[in-house]
Amino acid sequence: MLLAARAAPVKVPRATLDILRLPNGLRAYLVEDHDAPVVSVEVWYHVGSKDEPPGQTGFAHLFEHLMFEGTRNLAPDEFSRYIVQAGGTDNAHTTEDATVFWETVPSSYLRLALWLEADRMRNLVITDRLFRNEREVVKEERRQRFDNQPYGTVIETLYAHAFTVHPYRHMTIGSMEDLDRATVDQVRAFYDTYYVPANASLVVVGDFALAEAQDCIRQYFGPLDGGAPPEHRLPSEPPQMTRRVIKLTRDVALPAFIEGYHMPADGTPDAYPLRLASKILSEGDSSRIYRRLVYDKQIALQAESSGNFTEDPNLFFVFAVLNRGHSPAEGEAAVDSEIARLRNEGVTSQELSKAKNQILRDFVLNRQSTQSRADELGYDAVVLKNPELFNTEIDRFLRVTAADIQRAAQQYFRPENATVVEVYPNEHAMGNR
Amino acid sequence: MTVTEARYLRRCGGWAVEKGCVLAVGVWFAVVALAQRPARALPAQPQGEQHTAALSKVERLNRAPVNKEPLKVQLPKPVEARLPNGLSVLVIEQHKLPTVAFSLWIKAGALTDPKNLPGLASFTADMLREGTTHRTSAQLAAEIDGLGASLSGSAAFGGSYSEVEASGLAPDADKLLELMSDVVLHPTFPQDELDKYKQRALAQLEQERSSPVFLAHQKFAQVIYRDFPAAVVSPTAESIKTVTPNDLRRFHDAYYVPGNAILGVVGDVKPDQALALIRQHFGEWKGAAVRPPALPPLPDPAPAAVYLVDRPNSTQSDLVAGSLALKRTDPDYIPLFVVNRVLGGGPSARLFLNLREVHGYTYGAYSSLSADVYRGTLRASAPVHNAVTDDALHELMAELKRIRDERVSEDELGEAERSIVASFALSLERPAQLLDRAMLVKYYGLPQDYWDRFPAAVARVTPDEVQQVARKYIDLDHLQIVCVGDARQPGNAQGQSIKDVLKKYGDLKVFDTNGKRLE
Repeated sequence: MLLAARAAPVKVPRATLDILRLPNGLRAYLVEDHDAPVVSVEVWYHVGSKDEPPGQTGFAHLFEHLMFEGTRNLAPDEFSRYIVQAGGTDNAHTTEDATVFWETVPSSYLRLALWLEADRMRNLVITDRLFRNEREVVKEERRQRFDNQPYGTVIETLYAHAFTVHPYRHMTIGSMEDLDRATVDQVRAFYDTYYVPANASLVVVGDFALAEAQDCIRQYFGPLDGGAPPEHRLPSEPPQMTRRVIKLTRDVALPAFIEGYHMPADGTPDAYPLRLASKILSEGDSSRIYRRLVYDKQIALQAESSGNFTEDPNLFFVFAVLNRGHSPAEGEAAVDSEIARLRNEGVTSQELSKAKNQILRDFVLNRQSTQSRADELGYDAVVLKNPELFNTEIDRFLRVTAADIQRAAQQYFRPENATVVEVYPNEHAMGNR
Repeated sequence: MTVTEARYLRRCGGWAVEKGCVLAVGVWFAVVALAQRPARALPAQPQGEQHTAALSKVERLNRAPVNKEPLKVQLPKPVEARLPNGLSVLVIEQHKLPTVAFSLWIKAGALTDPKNLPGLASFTADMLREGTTHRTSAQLAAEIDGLGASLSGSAAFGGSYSEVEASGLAPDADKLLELMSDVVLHPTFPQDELDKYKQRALAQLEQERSSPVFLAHQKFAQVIYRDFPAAVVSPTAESIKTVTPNDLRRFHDAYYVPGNAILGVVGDVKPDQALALIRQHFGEWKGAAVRPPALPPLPDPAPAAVYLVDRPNSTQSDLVAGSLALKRTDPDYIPLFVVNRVLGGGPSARLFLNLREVHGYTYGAYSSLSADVYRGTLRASAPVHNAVTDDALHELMAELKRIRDERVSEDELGEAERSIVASFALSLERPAQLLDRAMLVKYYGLPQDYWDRFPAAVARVTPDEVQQVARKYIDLDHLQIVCVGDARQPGNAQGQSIKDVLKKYGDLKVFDTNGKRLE
C-alpha cells in the first residue's frame, strides 16, 4: 500500500551478506559493494556500560580511549597516524551495550586496517601515565558534554530514578568519583575479559574482493587466542508500579521536563510500533506533540519524543523545553493528553503512512556511506543478534498496523510506568553578579 | 535530513554529537550513550616543556603492511543549464540510492539585513513554509511529512546567501519540487503565522544564551567585526517583535528572483528529467538579477585584547583565539587551509595533540577557517577545565606562535596534505557534499575545474608557504581572545581567579552573559 501510492516504487537497496566464523570465536560480517573506492572496517566488542559493576561506572568508555594508546607492535599514536597517512578516518564510540572501533580507508588499505585492528585486539600496552592522561580527557569530556551544558545532567537524574536495579541506571560516561577511583590493574583485567575474539565481531563493508578479505582476516585474526565469551548476566528491572516525579533546579533560562516510560528491548515485536509512534508524536511540523505544544498552544519552544532502543529494555522519552511563563505541569498535562489520545483513539491511516515513509527515508539515508552501512550491520549482528536484519528489518516496520500502535501505546504509555524529571530555572543563574 | 531517533543519534560520530549537544537542546536527551572522539596517544618521550619538539617526531615502529598506491579522486561533473528567466541549474546524477535533494541558493543573506532589523533574511527564509497562496502552514507540513521528506529555508548569520533545501525519496521528486516551488514563489507570510513564529523565535533567543559555545561565538564575532554586519550572530528581541509581514514581503520580492539564484539537484534522477521538472515548476518564476546593497568596508583590525564573558557556575572555560583571515576566492585560501589542518584541523593536528593528548586539558581542541565573500576568520578553540584555563591558554598561544615561527617539517606537512586530499575523497560518498561543492564553485565564481585541481593544489603547498601565510593571517598584534567561564573560579594551580589569569594575556574586558560590560 505504502509503496504503491507513489508514481514509481522506491527501490530499497538489498545487500549480499557473507559471514565468516573463525575457530577462535571471532565472527566477521562482510558486505561487498563497489560504489566508491572506499572500505569501512568496524570491530564491535560486546561490552558496554551496562556490563560495569557498581563503583566502576565509565569503565567501558574509558577503555575505548585507551585502545588508541599503543601496542607491542605500535608506538603510542602510531595507530591513527597510519590511518591518517593512508588518507582514512577513524574513531570509536561506546554505548550501554557495545564498544565500537572503526576506520574508513581507501580500498587499497583494507589490509592495513585489518592488521591494525587485529593487533590492538590482543597486544595493547597500558602504562600508568597514558592511563592517567586519558582519564583526565574523559573527565573533560564529561564536563563538556554534560556538566557544562544547559539540561546536560537531567538525563542522568532520569535514569537514576527510572531504573532501580538494571545497570542502565548509570550513564555511559560514568561518575567523576568512579573515574577517579579507576586503577590500571582494573583496566588490564577488563581488557583480558572483554577484548577477546570470542567477544568480538568484525564488520567489513565496501570496495574489496571477498576471497582476499577473508584470507586476510584469517591471517591476522586467526592466530589470536580466542578467550572465553564473557557472561552478561544482568538483573531485570522490575515493573514500575507508581509514577515517580523528581524536581531539579538548574542554570537554565527556561523550564523543561522529561517523561520516561519503560518499554521493551530493541528488535522485539513491540519496538517497531513504538518507533512509528515516536514519528507520529513528534517528527515533522505536522506531528502531534509539535503541533499541540509548540505550534498551536505555544507552551513549548521544543517538544519531542524518542525511544532509546537498546539490547535490554530501556525508556521511551517525551520531553519539552517550555516557554517562559509556562510550567512543567502545564506541559506535562498537554503531553499526557496527547498520550491518552494515542491510547484511546489510535492513529489515522495517513499518519501511519507518513511515519512509514519517514522510516523508509531514514533506512535509505543510513545506507549512504560505507561507514553508516557497517554501523547498521554491526548493530544488527551484535545487539540485535540477527545480521539478516540489515536487509529485512525495514519489512518489520512496513508490516505494523494502526492497531499495533494503539495496543503498544496502551501497554507502555501508562502514567504509573513513567518517571518524570521537572527542571526549574535557577533564578539567579542567568543574571548579573 | 535529520534523523532524530535516539538509536541513530547515539551512534553518530563525535562531531555530530558535539554539535547536537551544544546547538540544539532537542538532543539533550539523546546522549545517554556516547559517540566518542577517540583517544590519541602521547608522543613517545615527552620531556617536560620540550613536548612541542617531541610532537612532530612520533616514534614509529613501521611494522604494519602499507600500500603505497596513490589515491585517485574523480568528481562527477554536474550538468549545467540556465533557464530563460535567468535561473542557474546544476544537476548531479547519483544512482546509488533512491534519494533526491534540491538546494536553492539566493544571493542575499543575513549580511543584507538592515541595521535596525537583524534577522530579516533569516525570518524570511524560516517563514517560507508558513503559508503560500495555495497552501496553509498546516497543509504544507502535512504534505512534506507525508512524503517522509524535508523542506526548509535558512539564512545563516554572517552569511551572504539564503538557502532553501528539499530532500526525499527519488520517486517523489516531482511532488517535492512542486512544494519547493510553491514556498519559494508564492509565500504569503500570514500575520497570524508570523505572530506564532515570533513567540518561538523569542524563546529560542532566550535559550541560546545558556549555551557557552553560542556566547563565545557571539563575543568573538563582535570583537572581530565590530560595525561590519558579520558581527551579528542572532536576532534581537526588538527585531523579532517589530518585524512585519511587509518587511518579509519586501525582502522576498527584492531578492527571491531567478536571476539571483542557483538551483542544484543531486540524486537518482536523469539530468533531462530533472531539467524538465525544474522548467515545469520554476519556469514561471520572474525577476532579473539584483545586487544586494554593497557591504561596508571591514573595520581596521582592533589591537589584540582579551574578553571574558562571565558565566557563573561554568565547569569549563570555553576559549577562542583568532584573527581576520581571507575571502573564499583569495589565492591564499588553499595554503591557509593547509595551515589550519596542521594547526588544529582534526584529531591528529597540533592543538589536539598538545592540549588533549599531552596535557589532558580538554576533550578536544581544534582550529577552523571560515571564508565567504568577505574576509572570514582563522580561530583556535577549546573548552577546558576551569583550573587549567591559564595553562591551556598558554599552550594554545604557543601553538599559534609555533606555526608562525618554526618551519613545518616535510613529514608533518605531507601527512596533513594527504589527509586533506583523502578526506576530500571520502566526502564524495555523500551526495549532499557533492552538490555543495559544485554549488560553491558556481556561487563564488571559482574555476570550473577547481575541485579537479584541488588535490594537486593542496599537495603543492610547501613548508615555506605554510609559514608565510601563517604569519600573514595569524595576526598576533590583532589577535582577539575570548573566554566564556566563571570569572571567580581558580584558573591555575596558584589559585588565581580566571579573571586575573586572563589579564596576563592582554587588556581584559569583562561582560555578563547578556552582553553588559562589567569592567
